[in-house]
Amino acid sequence: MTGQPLLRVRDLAVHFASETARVARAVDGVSFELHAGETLALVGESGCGKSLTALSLVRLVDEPPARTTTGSSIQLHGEELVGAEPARLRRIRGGEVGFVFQEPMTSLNPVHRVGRQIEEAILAHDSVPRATATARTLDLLSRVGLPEPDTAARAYPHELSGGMRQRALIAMAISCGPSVLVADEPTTALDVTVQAQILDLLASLRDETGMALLLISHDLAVVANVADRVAVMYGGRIVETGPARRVLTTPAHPYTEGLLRAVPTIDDPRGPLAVIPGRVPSPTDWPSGCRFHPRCPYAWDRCAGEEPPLDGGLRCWLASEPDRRGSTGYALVTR
Amino acid sequence: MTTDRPSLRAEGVTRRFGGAKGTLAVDAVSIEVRPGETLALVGESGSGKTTLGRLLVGLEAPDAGAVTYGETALARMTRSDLVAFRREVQIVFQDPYASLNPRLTVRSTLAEVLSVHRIAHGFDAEDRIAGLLERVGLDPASADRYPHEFSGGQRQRIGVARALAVEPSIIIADEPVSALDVSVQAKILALLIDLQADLGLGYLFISHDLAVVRRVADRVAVMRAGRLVETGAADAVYDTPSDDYTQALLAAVPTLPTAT
Repeated sequence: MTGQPLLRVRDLAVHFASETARVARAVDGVSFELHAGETLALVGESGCGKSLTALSLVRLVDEPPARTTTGSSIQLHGEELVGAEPARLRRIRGGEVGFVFQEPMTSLNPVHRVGRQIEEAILAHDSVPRATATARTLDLLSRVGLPEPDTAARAYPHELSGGMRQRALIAMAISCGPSVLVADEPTTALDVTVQAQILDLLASLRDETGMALLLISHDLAVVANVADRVAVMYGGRIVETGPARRVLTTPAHPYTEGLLRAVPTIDDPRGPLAVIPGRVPSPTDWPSGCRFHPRCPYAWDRCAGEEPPLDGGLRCWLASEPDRRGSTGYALVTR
Repeated sequence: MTTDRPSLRAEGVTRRFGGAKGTLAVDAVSIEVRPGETLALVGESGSGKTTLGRLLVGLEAPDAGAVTYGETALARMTRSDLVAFRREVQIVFQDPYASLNPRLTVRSTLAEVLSVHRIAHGFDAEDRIAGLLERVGLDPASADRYPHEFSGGQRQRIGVARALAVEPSIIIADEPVSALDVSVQAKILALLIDLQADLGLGYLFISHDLAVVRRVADRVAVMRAGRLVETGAADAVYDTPSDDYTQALLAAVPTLPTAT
């Protein structure tokens, strides 16, 4: 990619402080760039900080209790968003940055018609007559593939299927022509046939409009089919990042490797599954050194003592001592 | 050890919700869950797979057709037959947090099952509880903790321990790994496979995840809109699906790229 990135995130750290517990460093030094027309996927398991990273871009997390640390920087078109005025952030949310969440039922207001809600989103950002907003709403609903936009606009959310609701939500998210669309587990609540359609829709809207897509997902196979680049998160940090195909076929970080080998695949029903030992630590107590080292099959004393930097897309000491990978790896289960 | 134990069968089972003109959630479905074997029931939301699972354990009664265990239909079982049936056929739910009593410790939850089914009391129960927890990979020392003190994967282990407490021969597992992270999911699948090998359990494995099903199933039944559209050996259904809907479902499954 060439030129200025649309979005440049540097050392983003989001911590939660409370009087009774220790500070939770839920997102802790995350950096990435997002260019026009590209898709970056943030992947990882529950508690790795991927959703919080996305929500924090436009301060969608209550501060307090959350606190974006002073060293953090989030630049959208070169404009610094950390410390920006609340009014400015309100314009950006739903304007330059659109959001699609996992469960469309909870993102839509159940007592208002779908069309009305999209209209309101348009009117909140653009000073256009209501009739213009109505026309744009119908156009959007047809662009997201709803066969009868009029009917969909008049429907209440519960009258639509899950897939149709997600389409309506996507229509709302792109209603003001965002340059970045954040999609947080956009297909996790959907059936597999609908999932494929929604992913296609997101990709084609991205290609049509040139917006950038930040996709948050726990599902590596979903990511594989849409993302240009992948950033794998663990313990509030990015541990591996690179072109999607490279990361998903030849993972360099032991965590990425474990995740990929723990997923059952439809093509290889008898292949062994890796078992990642232990569990995700609490953000109040990240382990010393590499945060993954207590669960890593390759870890040696250096890993506990010293945290590796994110260097060349990899945060792992194996980068400098590849022989350590050796022959032992994850315990495997077979059937 | 598995051959002499009876199967659990649905025979032309129908369940309608919302009166005579309501939705046919399950429409004349016949399947058989055999001990020692995993039958996977797949389908999308609203296909009726969960309702069929509930019919098979007797949590719902069919409007037509019959659920039978061995020679006897559930509807014709005597009270003591039913007590015995509930020991033989257990269910594990998707969200163990919602199906565990939050105010009971793990020990109390398991002790209650053992006592209700008159399996063990007192010291005897203590030994059983420790054994069950060990069997599902939990530290017996954690028996005095409450459900909220466990992770999602550990809670699912508790759900499995509760089902195992009555020494069932068949377990209906309704989306048992769907709420779990990938690395945790692999461990629970391993546990279920292990238990089957050791205890000869029969599973009805209800799931929307075709990759997970491919991994665990001996046979697969595909449901759509209340009807069974295809049943067969897992390899046959996956490799040469005969029904259009099965083909569409399989084609929609996202796959990981392979290294070239």
